Amino acid sequence: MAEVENAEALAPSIASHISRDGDGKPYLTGTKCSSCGHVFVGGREVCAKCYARSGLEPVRLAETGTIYTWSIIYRSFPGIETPFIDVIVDLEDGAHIKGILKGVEPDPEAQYFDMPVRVQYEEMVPPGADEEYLVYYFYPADQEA
Amino acid sequence: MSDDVYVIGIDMTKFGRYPDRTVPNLAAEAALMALDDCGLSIDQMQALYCGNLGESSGMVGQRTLAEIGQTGIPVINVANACATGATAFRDAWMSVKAEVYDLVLAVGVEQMGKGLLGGGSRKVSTEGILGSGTMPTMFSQIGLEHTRKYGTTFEQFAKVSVKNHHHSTMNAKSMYRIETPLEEVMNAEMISYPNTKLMCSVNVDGSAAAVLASEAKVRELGLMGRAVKVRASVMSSNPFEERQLAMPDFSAATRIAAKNAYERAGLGPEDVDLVELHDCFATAELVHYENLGLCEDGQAGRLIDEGETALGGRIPVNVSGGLLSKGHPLGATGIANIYEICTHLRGEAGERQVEGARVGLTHVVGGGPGMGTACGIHILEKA
Ligand SMILES: [Zn+2]
Repeated sequence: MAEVENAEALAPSIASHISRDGDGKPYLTGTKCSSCGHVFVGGREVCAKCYARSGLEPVRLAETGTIYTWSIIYRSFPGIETPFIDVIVDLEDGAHIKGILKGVEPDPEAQYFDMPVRVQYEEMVPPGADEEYLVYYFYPADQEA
Repeated sequence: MSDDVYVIGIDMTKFGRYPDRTVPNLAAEAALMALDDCGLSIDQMQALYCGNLGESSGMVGQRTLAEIGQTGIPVINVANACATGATAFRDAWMSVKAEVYDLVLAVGVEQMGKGLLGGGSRKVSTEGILGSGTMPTMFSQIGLEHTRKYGTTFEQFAKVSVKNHHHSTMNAKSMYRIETPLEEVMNAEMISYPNTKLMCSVNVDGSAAAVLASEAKVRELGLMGRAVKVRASVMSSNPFEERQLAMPDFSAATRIAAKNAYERAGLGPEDVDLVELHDCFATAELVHYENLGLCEDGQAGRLIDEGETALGGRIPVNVSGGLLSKGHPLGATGIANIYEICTHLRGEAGERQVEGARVGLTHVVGGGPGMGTACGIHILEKA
């Protein structure tokens, strides 16, 4: 009974690749292909790279990496606060994931290529929603949580 | 007699905003214009291939025939992101190539709202939380990937928009026909760095249509004079690419299609006199110079700096004004690009004519986050 109440108290995840373990601790879900070694974000049963249909193992994704490419978004859909920095991050385990870089002011001159970043989980109320969701952001790796 | 397929009639509406018209009504206009272009009638067409995205479950092809003549021919409705028009054209081409028909009609049409494209349809959107799913964002990141590899600058990307807007001043069918100097492009509202508002394609309404025929049919009709030969009609989808699940890839699909198209045509990029490529954003055009082999990898910035892709340059690109200024009615774009090339090969492009053009290439590529890519390339030659 206590377990169920506890589960209900946890904010739901905003995307299927953000999960929680038995202790409620958030993590990013991934899949590693044991044939070619590619690490995918999220779950899957067939490898898109080498077409293997078995040997796809669920893994927890790395939580540090570097920025491959980026953009600063000044115009988004109505109700979405801008500007923000959209980044494509190469995680240390080889996975590639999209997210937002927080902790620095958006500045086109700054050129964010190769910046080391870390994942931080947060709970927030998305625009238009009426409850908190579990999300993740990236922060510069040298910024403490 | 060869099994070559020819375009004998082709035209497009002026691109613009027609909120009071319907999608089939827009399609009907271009269809009739294409028929008039070759002096034929709808009852001579053996099949209709119709491309549209916005009403893709709405049998747009049949509704188009309801406006121009219900002859009972087979109608094939297709939707394939920004390659929708090219897909309809290619299906039409294939049906003639396969000798199922020898005279068919292809039409592409779209009616669009203003504003940003992209995003998802999830109940709770991740926009602004796990990143941005807008089209400008995808193509800005692809542009900055080019910056990462080759040092391409914001100014070089902006020059694409200056060029294509300039070209459009010579095209009466273009949505916009205004000069946009470099400072104006760079100082326009920033949408997703480095693409400003003037570096994003224009959402417009419009349609384009083509009549395709077998060589025997062209000769029988006596229409070889203005006919344009389809030297290659090629499509591809996104192959596996290292980062494609995080950032959709448009380059790998384009490279596959380009390689296959040049092989099919028995031609190389050096044989091409003009190109209409998918400049949905200014950043995209530079990346596609390399994907289409117009220059070596890393040389796209130099190409735009030296004016090689401007009208009068070595290999003019998007002399129609491109998607950036002529406009981008998604389902119509693939056939509108073919119209532009045919117009030059026929020597009928007026003040924007690429002198002596004999071979032209069209390219469209579309897709989105979590979806995939559709690419279509056509190589056309003066008959
Ligand atoms: Zn694999």
